[in-house]
Amino acid sequence: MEIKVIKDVLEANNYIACKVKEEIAKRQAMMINIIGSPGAGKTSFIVKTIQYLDIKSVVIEGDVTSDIDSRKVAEFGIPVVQVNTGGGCHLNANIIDLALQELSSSAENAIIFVENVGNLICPASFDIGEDFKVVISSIPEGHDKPYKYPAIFEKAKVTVLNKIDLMKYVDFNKDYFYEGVLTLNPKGHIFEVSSILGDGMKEWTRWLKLQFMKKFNR
Amino acid sequence: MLHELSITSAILDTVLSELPADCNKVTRIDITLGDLSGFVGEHVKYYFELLSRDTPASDAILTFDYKRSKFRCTNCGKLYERSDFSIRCPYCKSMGTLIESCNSVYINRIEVE
Ligand SMILES: Nc1nc2c(ncn2[C@@H]2O[C@H](COP(=O)(O)OP(=O)(O)O)[C@@H](O)[C@H]2O)c(=O)[nH]1
Ligand SMILES: [Mg+2]
Ligand SMILES: [Zn+2]
Repeated sequence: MEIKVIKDVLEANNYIACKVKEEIAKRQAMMINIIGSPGAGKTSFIVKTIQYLDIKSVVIEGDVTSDIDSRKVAEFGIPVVQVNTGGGCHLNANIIDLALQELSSSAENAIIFVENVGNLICPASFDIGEDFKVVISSIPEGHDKPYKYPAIFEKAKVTVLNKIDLMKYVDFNKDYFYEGVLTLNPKGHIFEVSSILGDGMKEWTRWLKLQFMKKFNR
Repeated sequence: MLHELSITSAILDTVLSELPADCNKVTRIDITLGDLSGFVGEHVKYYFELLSRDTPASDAILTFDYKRSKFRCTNCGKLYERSDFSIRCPYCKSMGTLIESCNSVYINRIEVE
């Protein structure tokens, strides 16, 4: 017997993601899903961003097993919740749903930064109820990332090109990188930053703040 | 580790949830895989064998239909598919834009006994 199904296999995850989205809206908050390879600079970028922002911020740190990154974030006095995937290579909506309960009122009127597990494949497919995704790619990783991992560059509203301070040491074809991103995502925004020196952080955080204000007509 | 573990688990869950009450065996699962998803059919098969043990889907044959995303050249207007290292129009070498994105994983049909 044949059964026609035609069903997105991520429907169950997407359903929870919708619930998370509602919960975040109820808290007058905004959630950003930060995705990048290990070492791209996700943690550094989040910390630097929050230092430049004058908006209440909290962090959800996703990692396979460790809590090194959340301790790093906490050192800066930023509220942080650690979530572990216990081997899984990405976060899913269910994990975030639980983390939000733990954050309770500290995640109200705030920007919630979620550091996803270092990986460019699965996090592109698994929505977590975020307002938008940010993909971080760094100069030393090379200019061909959009060609090797097209899905995340298509889906991320923002592409961050990090470690721009290393540009002079690395053979990085910026035109080729931009072309890949913009072909996949013509409406995407690209910010060039150094999460260590702070280059480009003003432009990025000005844009981010605008999104936050717009969401609730503040 | 391969990236297909959770997507395979989602495939299995979806199939089992679609199974009518009077069926106890899934013999075939037809899956549509978008090329932008980054998931590889062979890896899905590998995990499926492990995950489906002791379920009604343990002997199912998996088939994959790969859907390729379409781009349109901004210069000559032709439709094209990307190659591994180029995302430009193969006819005139200009830039294009993604107009049909295939990035999801669908169950299309299943066969049961
Ligand atoms: N030169 C330079 N190094 C950076 C920059 N951002 C991060 N790093 C370094 O890159 C390494 C990995 O950064 P981290 O934030 O832990 O990356 P994550 O694994 O993506 O969270 C650390 O040694 C950082 O100091 C940057 O903009 N410029
Ligand atoms: Mg980190
Ligand atoms: Zn052309």
